[in-house]
Amino acid sequence: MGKGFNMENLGLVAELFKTSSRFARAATTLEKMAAGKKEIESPDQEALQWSGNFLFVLDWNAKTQSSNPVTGNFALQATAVRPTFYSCLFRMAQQIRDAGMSDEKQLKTFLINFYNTLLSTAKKSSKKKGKLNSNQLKLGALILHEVSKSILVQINNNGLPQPSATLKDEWKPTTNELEPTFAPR
Amino acid sequence: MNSSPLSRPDEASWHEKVRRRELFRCLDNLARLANNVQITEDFASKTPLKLATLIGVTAELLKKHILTIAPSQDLEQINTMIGFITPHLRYVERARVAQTPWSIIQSAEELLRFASNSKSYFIIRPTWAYNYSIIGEFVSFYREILSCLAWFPLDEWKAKLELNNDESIYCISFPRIERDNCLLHVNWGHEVGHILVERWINDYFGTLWATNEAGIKSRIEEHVKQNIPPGDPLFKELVIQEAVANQMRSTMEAARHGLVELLCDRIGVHIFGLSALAASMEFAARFALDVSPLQSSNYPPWRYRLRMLLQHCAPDLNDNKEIGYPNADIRALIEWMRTGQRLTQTRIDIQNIESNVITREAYNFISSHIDGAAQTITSMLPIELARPYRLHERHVFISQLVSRIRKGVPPNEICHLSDNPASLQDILSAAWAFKMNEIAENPSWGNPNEYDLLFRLVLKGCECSYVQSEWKKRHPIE
Repeated sequence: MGKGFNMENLGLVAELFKTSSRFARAATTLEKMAAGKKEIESPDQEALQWSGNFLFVLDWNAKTQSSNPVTGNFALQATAVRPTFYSCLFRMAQQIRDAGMSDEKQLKTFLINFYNTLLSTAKKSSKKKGKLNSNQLKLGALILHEVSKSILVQINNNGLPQPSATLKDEWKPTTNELEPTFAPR
Repeated sequence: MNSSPLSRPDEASWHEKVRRRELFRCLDNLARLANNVQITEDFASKTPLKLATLIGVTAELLKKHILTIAPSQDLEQINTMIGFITPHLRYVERARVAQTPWSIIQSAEELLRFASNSKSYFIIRPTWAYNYSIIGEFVSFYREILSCLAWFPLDEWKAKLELNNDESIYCISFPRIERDNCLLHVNWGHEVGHILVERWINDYFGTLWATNEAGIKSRIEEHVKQNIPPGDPLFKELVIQEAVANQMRSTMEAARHGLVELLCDRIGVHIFGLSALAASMEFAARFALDVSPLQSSNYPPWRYRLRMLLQHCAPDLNDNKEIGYPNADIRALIEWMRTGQRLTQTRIDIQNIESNVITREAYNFISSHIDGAAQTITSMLPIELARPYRLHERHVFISQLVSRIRKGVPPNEICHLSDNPASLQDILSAAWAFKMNEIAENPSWGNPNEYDLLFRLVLKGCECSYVQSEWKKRHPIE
């Protein structure tokens, strides 16, 4: 009750676990497609569809392009996962550059094409892969793998003990809580 | 010796080989541990055995398929699952008779099940940490994570569990150091509130959040843009979005967690009345009252919580001369509560909340929705608990129970041989009234023997009242 009185949130953990699992399945499917696999099994199609829809909600730049209304629980899940998604993109700066993107506009265009590809692939056979080539599919798969693993690490702490008695940062009433997330290049 | 780095496929193959082998071994061990604990331990109720069965069956079926059917990409997830479910065995182990205030377990579990209006089972176990908590729900958690494995035989799993669909298992923890201090166990009312509040959160919170999200986002964005963090030119706008996304998540967490805790407080005080407030005040006195939610795992400041509890209890804090309230046995408790009212006139907690954009937005959200939410959640309670427990309606009976404690008699019934067992709420109210009376009359009251006598009388009162109630149910007077 002191700092306790808490309900260890198994529901939230289950939701995040499912999100990670679906992203992992979608990533594996994309890798197989990039390697030339033609047939997509039904659970894989569902994972692609779900991932496409979720990414349209997750990514604020893409959100306006989706015509689907955002349901309450989807909005909550997206709020919980969104910082992880952006952090993963930042960590993948090199791979994004290697894929030929040099500015933010190109990145945004790629991401929206990627989400659309997930949705169109889920609906049609894998013969039509949307607008992305094999390398771009691999990059998309890499992003999904990265987000999936990051979510898993958030809930299992990568097998390490959860920090229960670490010192906390001082709370500053006037700050807007911003810390540089990475050094500028 | 070949010292070249492993290729990605080779690394994946190495991972798979080790994982499959070691996870099989761990699952085998887990299944055996879960079975052994059922044979060798002694429990106050059958609930711990149900959780052990859940763990054992899950481990057994994962083990059965991990070597042959599970695809390699699922092994990391299975490892995470084992990481989740293995520690759950400690809840079973710690629920042994010797570890718990066994005389109150059955009556408490019955009230908790009744209040949560469900077929829930409760494991009650001590924890060395100084807090009360509830963890669950286990059955649905296991079902949800197992459903991520397309190959897992869920139907076989359900059949082996022999649990109906709506049956659920929770574990309530209490501080080991307070095992016999049943006055503080009133906090279980707050914990059972979590079950009802969780239902409300699942049904309504997302929709409310989605409705308010745009406004909150625009205010946070404005705040972030006052101090734009440096970043890679490749991600110029995304850096701002990430900062906003981080603060939005913090706001959502502070709002959800704060709302949940305040609503659970409300349920606890609705069921137990002033006893719940007294327990919270005593608990809060150990800690700083105005700590920001951002520094205390999103818990509302204690002063904020006490203020809301006191508002709910206001009808019990006023004198009512017509009915002679509060009578002499209760007056000391009421006076102590009134100190709480003065305590909450200070508003440092609110100033702290207002001074940060995350907590300001979160608590604006909470203030807008808490009354409606409390109304909906209270309506989930069974009809017998629909009205809040009010001390001023029970004060005559409570006075009789206080007299019994004073005479060294367990406060299990109203009047002697009256065929009227006291409720858990009445017994605990009397216990609090007695304690505050004793302290008011003698500030040095409270040596180990005095506490021990009070706790034993009250625990015995709870046990006898439960036995008497059960007897009445089975042998109704014609």
